[in-house]
Amino acid sequence: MKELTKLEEIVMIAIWDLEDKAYGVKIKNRVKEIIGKEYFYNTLYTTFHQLVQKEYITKHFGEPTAVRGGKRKVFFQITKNGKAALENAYDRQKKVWMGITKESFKKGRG
Amino acid sequence: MKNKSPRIPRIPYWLLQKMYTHDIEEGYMGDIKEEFDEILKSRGRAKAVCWIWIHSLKAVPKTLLEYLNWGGIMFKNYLKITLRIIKRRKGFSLINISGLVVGMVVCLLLLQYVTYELSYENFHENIENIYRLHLKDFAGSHGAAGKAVKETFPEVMDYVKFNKSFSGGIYSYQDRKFQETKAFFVRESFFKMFSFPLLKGDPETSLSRANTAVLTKSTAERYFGNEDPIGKLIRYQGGNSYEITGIVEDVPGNSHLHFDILISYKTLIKIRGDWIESTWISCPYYTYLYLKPGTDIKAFAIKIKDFFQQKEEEIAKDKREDLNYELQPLRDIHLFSNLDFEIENNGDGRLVYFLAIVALSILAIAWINYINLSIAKSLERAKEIGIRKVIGALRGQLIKQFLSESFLFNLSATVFATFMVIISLSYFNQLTGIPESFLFWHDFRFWLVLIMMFFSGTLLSGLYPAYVLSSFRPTDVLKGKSTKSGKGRVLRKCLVVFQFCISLALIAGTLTVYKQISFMRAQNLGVNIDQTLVIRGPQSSGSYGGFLSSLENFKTEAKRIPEVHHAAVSTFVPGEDAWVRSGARRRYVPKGDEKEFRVIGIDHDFIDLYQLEIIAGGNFSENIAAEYSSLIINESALALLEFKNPEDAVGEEIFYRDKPNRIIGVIKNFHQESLKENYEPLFLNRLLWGTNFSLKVSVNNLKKTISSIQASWNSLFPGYPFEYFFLDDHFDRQYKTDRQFGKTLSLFAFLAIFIGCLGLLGLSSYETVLRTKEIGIRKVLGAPLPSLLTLLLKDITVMMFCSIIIALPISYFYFHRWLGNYAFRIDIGWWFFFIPTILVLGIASAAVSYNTIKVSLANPVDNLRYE
Repeated sequence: MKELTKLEEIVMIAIWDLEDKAYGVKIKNRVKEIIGKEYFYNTLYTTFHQLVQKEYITKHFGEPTAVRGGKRKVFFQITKNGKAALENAYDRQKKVWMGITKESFKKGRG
Repeated sequence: MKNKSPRIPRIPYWLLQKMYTHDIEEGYMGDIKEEFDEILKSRGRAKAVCWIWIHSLKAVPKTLLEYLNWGGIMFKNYLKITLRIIKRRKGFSLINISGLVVGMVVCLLLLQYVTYELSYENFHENIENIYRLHLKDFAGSHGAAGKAVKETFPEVMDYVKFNKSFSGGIYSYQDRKFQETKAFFVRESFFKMFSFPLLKGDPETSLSRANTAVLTKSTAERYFGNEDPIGKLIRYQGGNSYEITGIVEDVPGNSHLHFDILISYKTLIKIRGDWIESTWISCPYYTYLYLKPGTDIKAFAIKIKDFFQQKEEEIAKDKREDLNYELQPLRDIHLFSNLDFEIENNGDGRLVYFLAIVALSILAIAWINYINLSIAKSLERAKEIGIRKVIGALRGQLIKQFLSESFLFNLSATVFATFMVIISLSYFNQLTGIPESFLFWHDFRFWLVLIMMFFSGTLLSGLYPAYVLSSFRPTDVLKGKSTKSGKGRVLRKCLVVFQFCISLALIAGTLTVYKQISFMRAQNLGVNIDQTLVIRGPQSSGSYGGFLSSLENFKTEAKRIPEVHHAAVSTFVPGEDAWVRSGARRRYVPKGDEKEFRVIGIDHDFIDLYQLEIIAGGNFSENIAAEYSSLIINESALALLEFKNPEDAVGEEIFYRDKPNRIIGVIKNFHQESLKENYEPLFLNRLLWGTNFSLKVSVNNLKKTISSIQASWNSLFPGYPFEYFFLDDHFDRQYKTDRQFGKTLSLFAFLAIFIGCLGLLGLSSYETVLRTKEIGIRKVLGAPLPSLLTLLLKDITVMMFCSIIIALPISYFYFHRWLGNYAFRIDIGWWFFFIPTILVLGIASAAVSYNTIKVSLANPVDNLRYE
């Protein structure tokens, strides 16, 4: 199983949160909410593309709406593999930060 | 996909769309639109537009990088494949590149020559507004012409008049003496009109006083060494002294007006008298007009014509000659003016354009070669192309691949060619007489041409093969089906026909030029110029009688040397433009209807020495004084004076310069100049104003002979430089340009055939490979070798005949016109058509047969087994 990059991780968490409403604009806003930084669509879609290639997410088209200039939304969903990868990432994260609290930084060695 | 909302800015939207490289485009663009609308609603239009611009521009660098990265990777692959092909087929690639290199080198060198020829007079700031006023067929004009035009027409801002007939001779400073031929009398406005930069002195005033002179830098160095020449005096022929008032930069090579010394015009007026400013009779003056910028030159030329017609009516007939004046732009003088009395021999504009066309044709041949060879290679490449296509290469990518291949070939050819041009340029300059300092690559245009050549070469030679090769169908080529495509073959054959055409035309041209030259050299001149040594002698000064006896003295002295058989004096020697002309008429012809004759002053030994044939009357006697008004005429003059036969003419009186002269003899026509010129009506008389000594010498011990001649020269004409030449060499020099033309043509003919044959070799190998199986079957069925050869040579023979039909009539037309320049010329005969045909056919079939025989001799089993 390939490890996820930070951005991939965040994007996947956003998709996970949004459940069946996960498409470009929503994901972008959610990512902004989570980490407070705005990513551009070009970057996000590159990440989507990579995740689709890795088979961690799937895409399917929604109905066309007038708001989007007649263009259909593309919804993303986490696959089984994706879920496993996310879980794996969570475990790893925990291990990495084990035993370190906010106080540790205050004592400070640097 | 149309953008329905009119309010979304098109450019960034389009940019975003273009730069998106993944597959989920619809969602991506939809998302952008949605967010754009949202921002528009909540924060206003300005913010929204700003947002989408930032969004689109942020995507640029990344996309670009990605594109370059992938392009680079693919290019690296193309490069690798190309290098492998070059390695595998060394001969083939060598042919390909060397063809391109030779084509480019030839083209660049010729362009250098053409640029130089076209650069004449370009350094004059006022070049567009300077015109030469000249008589019909004659470069000079009358003494009064310039002034009259200037006073009548407001369009004429200024004019310059100059003259070199009375300024050649010996100039001296202290003990330094030099014979000067490039000395001119010029009006003071000379420096205002022409852009010859003065290093010292004032352009306005340096030539405004009588007896002042301006020297070129190198002339000044000759006389004065390192001294400052300003204010010093140089002496002319031991008489007048001229004060140096200015130093001018040496005249660049690309000018038709080369001078060493300029003397103020007032000096000439002082020497010759005021009448030279108002004469309509003598015309040894060059007049250049400086017209107001923006003058309508066509209208002005008509005005000039009318003006002089009116003048002709005004002036009494005996006070004027014909005044048929014409205008000629300064820019055209070097290339398009071939009049009598030119300041120097001019170039030939038609030749320059012809060479430019030849240069481009040779480059075209090289490119065609590349095309033919690339397509010939296609059989080998077919499998590669098939596999690339199966793997998923798009047609565009394959085209890109073959274009990058031609890019590589052209690049290496360009690099080689540039080096070769840089190495060979100084040699080439020497060959063509272009000054060393004129180096083409100092000119930005050289690099421009090179870059253009490179890119157009890449495209022209790369596009068609790319198009053909990328059109192969993978299923066919991988199954091993032959890829003989019908559509390209016609074009390929046309290209080969074009190559043949150029080779044929060049060979035919070379033949014509060489035949004409050898014809001219073999022709009996009517004058014997063998073993003749000519010494440029002094001009008459002081008492005429004393001058003549000094000439006789030298002749006697010279004849004392046992190796000198004969000696004579004359104003001109054969091989020179005898530019002195005068009007003459018979007694019954009214005054004013004179005809023009060339005049050469000779002594009584001249006719014997040159073995001119007297057909009636006799030669001059030794009694000069009794014969000042005697004439010997030639056959042309006889006809022009309307005598029925030579005997009638002898003893007749002719009014020459309005004085009665008696004809004492008639000589056969001889060639005074090269055979380009027709026989001119000629008078020989006894007035020796300037001199050339002609001495017949034996060839043995030449060095000693010359030094003893020089010894007596120095004792009789102390201070006069001893300048001599051999007449046959001198006469031959008139054919120098023709011989250069012939040499250049034959070189190009050779190169054209060479490059063309390379291409043919490639093409024929392609054609034979295509027919390998057919040949195998024919052999199995018992076809003999000759019948196989005819089969394979049929194509090329057809192409040959097409090109013969196209090329030879066109070149016949061109070279027939070229021969029209010569008064005495060869006829174009069977050889013009026969020899080039045989030559090209022979060479071409030799090239083709090599492959053909190889295939024909092979074992049919191998031929049939090859798949």
